[in-house]
Amino acid sequence: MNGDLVLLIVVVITALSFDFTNGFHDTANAMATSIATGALKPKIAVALSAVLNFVGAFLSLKVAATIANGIVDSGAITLTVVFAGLVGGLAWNLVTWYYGIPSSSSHALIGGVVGATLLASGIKAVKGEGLVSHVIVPALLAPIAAIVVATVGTYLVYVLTRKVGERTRTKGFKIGQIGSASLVSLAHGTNDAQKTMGIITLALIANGTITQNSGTPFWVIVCSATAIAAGTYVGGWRVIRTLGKGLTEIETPQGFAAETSSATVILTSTHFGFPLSTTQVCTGSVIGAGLGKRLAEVRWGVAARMGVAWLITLPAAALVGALAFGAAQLIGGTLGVIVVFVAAVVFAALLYLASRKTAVHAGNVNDEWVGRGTPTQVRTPV
Amino acid sequence: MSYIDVDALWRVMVASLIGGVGIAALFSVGLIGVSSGRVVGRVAGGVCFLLVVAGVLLGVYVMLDK
Repeated sequence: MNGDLVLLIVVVITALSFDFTNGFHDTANAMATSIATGALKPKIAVALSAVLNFVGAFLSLKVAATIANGIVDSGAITLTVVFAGLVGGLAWNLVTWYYGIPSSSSHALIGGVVGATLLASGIKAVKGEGLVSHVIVPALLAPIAAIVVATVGTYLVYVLTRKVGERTRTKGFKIGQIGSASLVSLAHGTNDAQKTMGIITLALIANGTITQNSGTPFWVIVCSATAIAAGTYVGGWRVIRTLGKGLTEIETPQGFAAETSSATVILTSTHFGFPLSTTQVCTGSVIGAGLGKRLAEVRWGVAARMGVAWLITLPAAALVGALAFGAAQLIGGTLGVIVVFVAAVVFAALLYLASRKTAVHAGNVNDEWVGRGTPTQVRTPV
Repeated sequence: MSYIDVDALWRVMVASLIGGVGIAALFSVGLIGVSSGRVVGRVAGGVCFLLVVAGVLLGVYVMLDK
């Protein structure tokens, strides 16, 4: 087995690992509110979301063999840069998962690639305007758009149904919430699995395994769909808890309004070519659902933690991406990439072990929120 | 280069507001209808739910069309 093939295999495994973390990090986007309101049992919710993500990955197959398109010079993208960028994105996904913070996987991946590119080709290879227009501006606008839609939607839902019997209202909105959450899951599958398909396709082209025009191999589609679905099924319970319980206490009408807002903002932004982060939209919708209900409390401390995390996503992932690229180059060749890969696996394993000490799972994800903005402190109501 | 595609942005905002708030309102009116206990109410509620389903189908179309 030659060095190029080993490098390709490592990149493919790392890309699928990123896809897996993307899945479990983003389960919360669609299902946190359904779990919090009891519309779906936790295990059923993640299973439904996993199936819809899997199906979604097959629905839209216009896969682009690009990474950070319009943000870094395509000529600067080598397999090692892609690998280091993935490591940066992976590391940020895992750290934010540990702290239960919803955070954009796409922005983390872009950050990782930007960091690796900066070290590999210098600042001239990074397009500042692209970074602002593709990442920073949408990151500011996504939550605002979702907050506005969800606030108005929630207010209207409560006003209109104030005379509807509680039983009918709760049952009706539970059904509606499951529908809108399913739509968000499906949209997530069509968007996010394709990123991994594009990266693997790009790696295969760079290695000469396939040609530029041969399209994405079927095994790549199946593997990417499986990885994101498996990640979704594992369920990022820590993030689910923060989004479902931490930001505000959600009732079924609020959950329905929040998921409807998320689905429409995501789909209209897709349609009009102004892509917004699913995570930031869904988080904004939950905040809006809290604002739209009279006397509901939004925990701004938790929201502020998320805001800070979104601000540092790009530089933090870029730093890890640059370090990963630097370390791989320092050691040199395929061995350098393998050493960085092993270091990433060890980091992930240590973080997983640390998370076991304060595990959040299907059994305690809905326990009373005890404050201080962390999902790791759970207390079962007596 | 423009940092913000203002044209796409306002379209997203208006369409999201109409779509998101509209579907939430239609679903709510549907619940009022089916819980009214009258035939006219149930029929009106059913029409509202059908419009919501049409909105969902439009969403799926957008996903497939991109």
